[in-house]
Amino acid sequence: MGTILLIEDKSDDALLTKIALKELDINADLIVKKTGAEAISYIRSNISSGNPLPKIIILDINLPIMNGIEILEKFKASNYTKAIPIIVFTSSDLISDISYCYKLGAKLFLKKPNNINDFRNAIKKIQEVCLT
Amino acid sequence: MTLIQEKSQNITLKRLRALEDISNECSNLITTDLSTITNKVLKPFCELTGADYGIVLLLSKPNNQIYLNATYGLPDDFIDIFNNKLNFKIDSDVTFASWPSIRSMKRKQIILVKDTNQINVGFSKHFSNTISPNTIKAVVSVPIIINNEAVGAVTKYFIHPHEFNDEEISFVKTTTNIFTSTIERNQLIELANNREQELREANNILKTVNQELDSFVYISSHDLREPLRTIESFISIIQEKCKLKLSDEETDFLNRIIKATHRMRKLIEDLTNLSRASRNITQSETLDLNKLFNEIIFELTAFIEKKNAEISIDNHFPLVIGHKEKFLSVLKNLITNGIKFNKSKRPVIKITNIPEVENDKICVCIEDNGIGIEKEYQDKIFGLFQRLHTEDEFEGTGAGLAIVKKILEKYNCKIWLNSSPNSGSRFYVTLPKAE
Repeated sequence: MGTILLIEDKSDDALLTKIALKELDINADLIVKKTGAEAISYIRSNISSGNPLPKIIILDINLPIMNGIEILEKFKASNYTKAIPIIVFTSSDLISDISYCYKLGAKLFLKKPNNINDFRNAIKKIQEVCLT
Repeated sequence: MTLIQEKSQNITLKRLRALEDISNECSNLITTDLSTITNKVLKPFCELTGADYGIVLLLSKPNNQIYLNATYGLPDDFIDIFNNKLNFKIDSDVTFASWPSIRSMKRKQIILVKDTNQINVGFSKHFSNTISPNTIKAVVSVPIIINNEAVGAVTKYFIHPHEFNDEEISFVKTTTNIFTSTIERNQLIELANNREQELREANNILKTVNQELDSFVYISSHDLREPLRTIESFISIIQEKCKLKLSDEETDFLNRIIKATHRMRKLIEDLTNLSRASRNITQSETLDLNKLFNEIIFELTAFIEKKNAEISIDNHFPLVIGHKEKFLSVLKNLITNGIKFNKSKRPVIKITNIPEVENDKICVCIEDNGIGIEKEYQDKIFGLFQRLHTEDEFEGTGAGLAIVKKILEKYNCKIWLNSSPNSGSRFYVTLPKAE
């Protein structure tokens, strides 16, 4: 299904995402970037080299320097990236965060689960939302 | 009546009036500025005894410096020069026991010198330079004594020898007494003001510390959830993958870890709730308690059915004002506790409106037929993570009532209870009444 860009600084969560994708037999390349700056430069290099952009972006909120909400704003403001579905996947459950992310154009706001089964369900949900 | 008698009666009357004035003046003065008082009082005091000069000397603690507080008949700059340039201390070389003021202070006695030709009287150089000491013929000095300690003296100087009759001495003493009590009262006012200021400062510091503590709890409880989530997630993978490979004992160990993570999650959640209890209380709306109770009962449907509980609610509660989620949390906690800590076959919760407990508050009573609480533990239940039972008997972290209390405190509301073992509990809470 192409590339999924995961912007996540915690390697544990990146690994769990990878495991869930594998167990669900989702054939996607998972690219993990730890900061907003790294993610932006990855997108830029894809644009300049003509490589395809990610099909889905999964975004954590609690990131160092540039937080997920700022990254979301940037991607939604750019003509190159505004059409890519962005999933906010975070441990925050602040109602203000949730509504703000939807307002900015996030496709889905998901709270990070506590076990692998819920993790798989979350990835399934992401797949559903993005493919329909 | 002789002319002399008439004159003396006239003076007595004037003195009595002066005493009345002085006493009024002093009782009206709510000020810590003593010189205002002393200046106002010294003038009639001297005039009505025929004194030519007068001074009020005070002792400033702790360095024992003596300074002039008021003068009569002396040049305007006399005080300034004496206080700012001369710097007398009570036991220093330049002050002498022969000074009438010092003498009266040291002896704590009134000093009367009818004729300076017969008793030697000393003066400060400054005084001698201003008024030729030879012109002073009589002196009276009354100590100002507070708590058995001389804190100053009122001294008057006469340029003619002076007979002090009983009435005049009584006048002098009474005036000084008024002085003394005024000074004493002002010291008390100053002390009270200082204490109040100190209390205010201490209170502000406490408030800041409390706020810091709240945000510390909020931030740390949030950050603690992250690693816990990782632990739980990877344990769930092990559990899935190894389910069939593990021995019974190993499965038991794994289950213990899982149970501990659940408990930790609950504790962290409670900490977060506790720190949230004091946040956003400014967002308030008018709330219908009957609607709130219905929402709670709907939410607790499964729990109520499982415990076979019955809940009755008064029809008409006055409207309250506050934060909906927080009030929901308070009432839900109390109702849940009534059902949870209850071994009756049919737990019964009665929610009633108690009228006229406080003016601007309403009072809700939540009564249960549960296990009750012994008197000596009734304060303890409001402490954070305080539990009176084992986890096996009644589950929970023991944060519920601490959160309830904290929310109520933010609204200046109260919670209390009436309870004894085996005869149920009545919890009372006050909530702000809507206008």
